[in-house]
Amino acid sequence: MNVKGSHEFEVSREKLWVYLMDPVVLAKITPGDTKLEKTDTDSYKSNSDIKIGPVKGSFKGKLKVENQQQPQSFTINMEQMSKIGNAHANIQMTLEEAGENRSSLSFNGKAKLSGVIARTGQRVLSGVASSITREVFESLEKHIEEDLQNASPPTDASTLQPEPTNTTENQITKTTESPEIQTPNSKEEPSFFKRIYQWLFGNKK
Amino acid sequence: MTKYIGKSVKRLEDKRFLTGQGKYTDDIKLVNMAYAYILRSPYANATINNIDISEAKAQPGVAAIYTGADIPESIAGVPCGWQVNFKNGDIMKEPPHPLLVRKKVRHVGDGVVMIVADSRAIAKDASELIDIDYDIHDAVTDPKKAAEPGAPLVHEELPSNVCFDWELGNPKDEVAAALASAAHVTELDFTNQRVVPNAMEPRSAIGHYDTAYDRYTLHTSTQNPHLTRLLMCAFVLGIPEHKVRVVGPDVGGGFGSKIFHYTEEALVTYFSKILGRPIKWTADRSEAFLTDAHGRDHVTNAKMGFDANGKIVALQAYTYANMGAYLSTFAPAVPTYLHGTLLQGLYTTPKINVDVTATFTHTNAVDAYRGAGRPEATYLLERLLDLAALEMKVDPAELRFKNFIPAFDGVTQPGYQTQVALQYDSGNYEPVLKRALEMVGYEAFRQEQANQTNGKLLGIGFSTYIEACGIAPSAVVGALGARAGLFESAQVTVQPTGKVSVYTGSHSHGQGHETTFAQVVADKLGIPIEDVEIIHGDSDRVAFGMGTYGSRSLAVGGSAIVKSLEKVLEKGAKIAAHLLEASADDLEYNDGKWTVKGTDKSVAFGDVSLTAYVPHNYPEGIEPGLDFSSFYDPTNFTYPFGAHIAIVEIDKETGAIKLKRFIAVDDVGNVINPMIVDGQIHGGLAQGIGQALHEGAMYDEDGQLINGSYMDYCMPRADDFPSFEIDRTVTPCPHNPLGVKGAGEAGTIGSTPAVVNAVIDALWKGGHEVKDIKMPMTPERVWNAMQD
Amino acid sequence: MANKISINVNGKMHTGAIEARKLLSDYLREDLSLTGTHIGCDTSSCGACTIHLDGKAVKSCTILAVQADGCSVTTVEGLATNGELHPIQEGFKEEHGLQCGFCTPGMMMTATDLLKSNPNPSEQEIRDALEGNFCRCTGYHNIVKSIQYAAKKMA
Repeated sequence: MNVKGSHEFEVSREKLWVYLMDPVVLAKITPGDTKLEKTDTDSYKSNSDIKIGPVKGSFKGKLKVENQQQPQSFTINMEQMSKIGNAHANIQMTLEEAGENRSSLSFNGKAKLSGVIARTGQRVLSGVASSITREVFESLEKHIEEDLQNASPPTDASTLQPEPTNTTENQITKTTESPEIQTPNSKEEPSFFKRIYQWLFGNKK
Repeated sequence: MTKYIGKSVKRLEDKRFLTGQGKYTDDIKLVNMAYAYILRSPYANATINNIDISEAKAQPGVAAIYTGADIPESIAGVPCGWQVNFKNGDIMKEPPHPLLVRKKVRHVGDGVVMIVADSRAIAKDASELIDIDYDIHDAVTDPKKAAEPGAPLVHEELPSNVCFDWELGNPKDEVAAALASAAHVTELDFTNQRVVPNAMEPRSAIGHYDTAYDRYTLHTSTQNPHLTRLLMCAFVLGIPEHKVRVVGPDVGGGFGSKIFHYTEEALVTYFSKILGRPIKWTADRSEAFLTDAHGRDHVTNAKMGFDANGKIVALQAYTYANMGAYLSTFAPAVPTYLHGTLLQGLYTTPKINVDVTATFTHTNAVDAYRGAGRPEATYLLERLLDLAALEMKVDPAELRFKNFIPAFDGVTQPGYQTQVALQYDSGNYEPVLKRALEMVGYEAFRQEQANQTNGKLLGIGFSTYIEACGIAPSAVVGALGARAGLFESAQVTVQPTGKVSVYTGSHSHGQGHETTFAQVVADKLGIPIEDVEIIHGDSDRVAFGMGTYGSRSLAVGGSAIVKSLEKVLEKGAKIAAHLLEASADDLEYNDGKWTVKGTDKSVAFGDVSLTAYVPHNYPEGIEPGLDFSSFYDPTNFTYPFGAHIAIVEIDKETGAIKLKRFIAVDDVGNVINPMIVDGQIHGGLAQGIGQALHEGAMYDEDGQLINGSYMDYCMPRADDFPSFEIDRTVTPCPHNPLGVKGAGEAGTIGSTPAVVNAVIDALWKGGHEVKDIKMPMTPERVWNAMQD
Repeated sequence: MANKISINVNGKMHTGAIEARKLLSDYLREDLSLTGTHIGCDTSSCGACTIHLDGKAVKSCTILAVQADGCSVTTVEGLATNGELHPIQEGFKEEHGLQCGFCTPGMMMTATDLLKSNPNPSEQEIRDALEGNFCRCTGYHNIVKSIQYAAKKMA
């Protein structure tokens, strides 16, 4: 299944990058109760309950952010396993300037489904995927708007390198016990994969 | 004089099915039985790095967990039963099909782990605790793309995915020359899509090892228990055949998919001894979709040339046939000897060449499905003919009449020698089409079509087909690559009281053998049908058999019964002669008794049979008993034929097709039970129409079967069909004692192209001159075809 | 987790403890050995498992056995009375409405329910009523005739 889309945001590309790499931001706008566990730099383990159409299951997964070319592109490589089937996705994220204080985010990639989810109901999934994509963009847009109104935009990316964090790997790992990502100090946490979940598996609500 | 033959005798087997007492494999419970669930690959092409069964194994109620590592290397896998070599003489590529995959999975559904537990639910639960680490690779699913250089290899030890290539007929250059000089050439590229047989009873198998007798019993939902036993014993497990009993109890439909020997049969048999408990495995529908051998899946380019008078001058066909990841039992025969050999059709085409490339892909195996090769051949010919008629603006029925092979009875006139190896036995083709046209009211229909004003498009489609049934003789099929004979056996045991037990190697799974065969026996012996029992499906009761497929049961199995009956009557006459103190030559047998010609001296069948077993007053030099076995090996195939006509109406707004009428006139030779033959035709039509309008297995590019359930795969339902209008002509088969040709597949073979042709006709009448619409012809596809 | 249930099946009370997740179809086949109720799919699509639950045709794979607690169930084994075939059974025999027999029990249970609410159905009404029952053998042609036969007989 191909997943593809793009959207423009009223924010500079550098800022958009920061938003995308900020797990707190993404946690906020992500509907879902995925558990995350950091396993390595840019690599995570996750658990989540997903329902797609007629099938329902618990997914365990891995996610990797690769090929980071700040601020223009990165790749999300993920793998979600469950007893009702597995999903593998490799998605290229591209950020582009779109005029002053405007930028666009486009993604293009492939999701491969297997197991029951592949042979039961897959024909309706691409439709589901595109509506979820729209939702994801809309809620990201809304978040950015609210954030800018609160006048506390993230600092410019050039000055916002991942801070030498006092958070240890252990502390991040602890977040696995929480239904939402709680990593206030780890700016480098790219939880964008939760969005990908939504594209693929639908809204847990 | 026949009391039963030719009559619609109600089925003797019905009562047990009507009262819920049919015994299908999954209905059987053995003492201490364990239940197996097979964990299958979710990927089409992947390497197994690790299988972790530790957690699953520890579950309460789990008896054992087996992987490929638990199977000795000497058990390589299930074999293929037909070898078709390359054109250049190279041996067919025949990679092993392991019972459980050790290292590399090659299609979604490949078996990896077998979990055996006290209940199926426990086994299934435990399977969810098994962790398999896979490396996933690219897959190829299209048979043509699989042959291209650089395509992902299904079997990495092979140089390419080509299993074999094959050619039949006249030299290609002769065909090309004839096409070049043709007044008109119709060319068509099409796909005969993959379909899933979908017998309503999912496959099931129970393996049981009896330590007391050192003997295995396998109950399995099969169409041919003896062949399964032979293949499993001799080619898979290496256990002595006399130590294995295979039973095919009541079987809930097969349609080809239960001919083959499957891995699960060998698994439950093998591991029942190791576990020390009977093991039952039953597929759920999802597994059936993934592992029951599929049908069709040909990608074809074909050209048919016509002279200025509309006579066919040549046919050239190129086909890529999908074998799937492994070779199923008869897979190589389907696109070759069951497809290429049928491309003469009913027509006098003087030059024919067919070229087939069979390829491996990362999909489930493809093998014989109702019709097996013949539907694909018929589809090819009949689509080309109707399309040519549209292109040349001639009437499609007229075009056929012009090209039909003239009538021949195969007795006073010789059989018809085709350009593609076969010699037809007997045929009279014009009457079937004439009768079908009459039933349609052809002229009136064409007027209605021309004057249509209701905003819909009416179309009519034709298909005049021939098929080859009861494939044989054994020596010929052996020369063509079959690794089995294709005869049949029958034992007729006359009990002392004159009741008759008939043991046939044919297997009934809906065809009604217990009735039809009994009709033959009762008539030949002149006894009440209630005095006859037909026994089938158990290798301990029936000495040998080749099973049921290819519409062969009556033509081959029935003929074997007739041979034994003749022996019974011959010996009976000697005993009767002794009792009547007459010469056997002076006796005639009628109505269940031997009579001295011209007298009223007679002795009844029952008296003779009793004498045979109580031989006090008995002729000298004759053994007691009245019990004969026979093997019948036919001298040729049989060739049923027919004419099918579909009438459809297309909604211009939505592209939805309504099948308004379906007319079928078939000639299946002599008919023993018209009610049963009609039923076979009805069911065949539904499957053929289903392929045209509803069904189609869809693999995505990763090799996932994306419609592997009844929520996704469109099974034809009652409201998809009109009542069928059927009739028949009778051209007896000249070379078997019953004159029968076979009726099981006719409906499926003829109907598919008739429906597609009707849709194309409707579209042309609506001004959309499209050559092809992919099957299944969904409203979306039809609608798109109208948007040109 | 075992739950105690009491179900009247074909006029006979059955009481026992069963797993809460057990489907009624599995209960009938496994616990009561009433194997005339067949299982042909895992998506409640094929109708081979159709039975009557308190007189209504229901696919027994769509409900849990515990849900049938206190209910009255009729299966194909309960159609005939005292060895005499029910008119629907007779219809299927007379009109050759069955071949392999696997879908037949479900077909007959659906058909008898139809005939209860519509004693004289048209061909189209019969075909519509069979929408949830698959048959792969007969092309439905003779099943329709079988039901018409039963309708006539029961009239």
